[in-house]
Amino acid sequence: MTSPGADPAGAIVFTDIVGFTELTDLQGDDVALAVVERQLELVRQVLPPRARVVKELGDGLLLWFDDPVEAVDAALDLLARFECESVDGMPLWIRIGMHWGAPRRRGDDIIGRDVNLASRVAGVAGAGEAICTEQLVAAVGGADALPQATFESLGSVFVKGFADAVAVATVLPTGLGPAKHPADRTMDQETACASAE
Amino acid sequence: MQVGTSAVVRVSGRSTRVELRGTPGDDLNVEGGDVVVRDDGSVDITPSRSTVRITCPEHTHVVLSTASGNVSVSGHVADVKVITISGSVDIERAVDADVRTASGRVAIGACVHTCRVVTKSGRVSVGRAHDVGVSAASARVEVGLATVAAVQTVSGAVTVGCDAFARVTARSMSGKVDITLPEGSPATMRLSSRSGTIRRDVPDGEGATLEVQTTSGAIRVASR
Repeated sequence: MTSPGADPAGAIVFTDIVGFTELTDLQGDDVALAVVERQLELVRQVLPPRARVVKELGDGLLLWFDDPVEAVDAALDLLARFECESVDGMPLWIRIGMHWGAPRRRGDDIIGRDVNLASRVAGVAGAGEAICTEQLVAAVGGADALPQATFESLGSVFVKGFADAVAVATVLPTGLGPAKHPADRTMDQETACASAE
Repeated sequence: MQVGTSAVVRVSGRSTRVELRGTPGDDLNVEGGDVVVRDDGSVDITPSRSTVRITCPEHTHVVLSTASGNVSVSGHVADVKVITISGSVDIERAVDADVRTASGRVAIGACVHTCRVVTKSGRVSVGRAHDVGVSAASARVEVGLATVAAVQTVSGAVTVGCDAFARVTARSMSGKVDITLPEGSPATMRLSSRSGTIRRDVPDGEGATLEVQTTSGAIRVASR
């Protein structure tokens, strides 16, 4: 994965709060600030030792993982935790985009095509969903490699700034079933959250 | 050419219009595209004209990608996955459908089983499906008739028609939510809104299960 002289490869992960602008408009800046702080708090709870928050991007976060499996686990864990989050009774939704690549380092920051691609992939995800590139699927050993996660291919997506379509997959916790959709999970949200407490 | 049972047909073209029709039989015909058959039996079609027209067997699994090209799927297909940025998507009938757009409009006539749509601003309409899941930002969402429906929007209005024993979850920040049930059907309802009005014109009782939450959007549950 890493060419001579290049920076090491890793999982680049973007998180984004869905509807943040509307949330801020409806609930005000104090609530918006609390939501951003809560997102960061939850992310820090799920980050393994070899991962880090690269930077905050408004209502989103850029994360780095040395290990692709840890990135998948963290993404699924984060989605599950956000299912139990709410503001004034309304659930909070995030979307996640993941890609495996070798971006350039600039201090603590990471820069380059792979970072841009991970950001674009996040835009494909629906609320409460994690989407990844085929490079990340390959990095974990293939679509069937992880007992805890299912990768369901969505085909290829044309994203802004990239000449070729990018193969992507949605990442689901195993047991949820490939036919399930992030929107479906809200039906059982309160039950699941209550049992987790 | 003929394709095997449960064949996968993929089409990827940036601005190409894709017109696909599912028909009985095993024949695959392509106009306006170059065909490559992979070792696993799947078929990749690269458009060579502004419109690619495909006729494929009904049992085909279809995967379509465009940036701005419109997508039209007529007849019947086993399942269809579409990702586009601004192309509109029309699907007449599929067993399962998964459609993602940024701004492209989505119209699905019927899904035998599950119908999934993710969009930012493209208007979504689903005529009839057993199980519908829609995640949208500002898009208006209309579901004609569903047994199971889960719809999330940020600001888009939501309209869901459901059957007498449906399970419906609808959540929106500022979009209004309108759910209709068959005349006289009761429902177990959990309706909440921070500042929107709530109107229920159906009796409480065992039947459909409705869970609706909004921040400012109005909620209405009525008979049709």
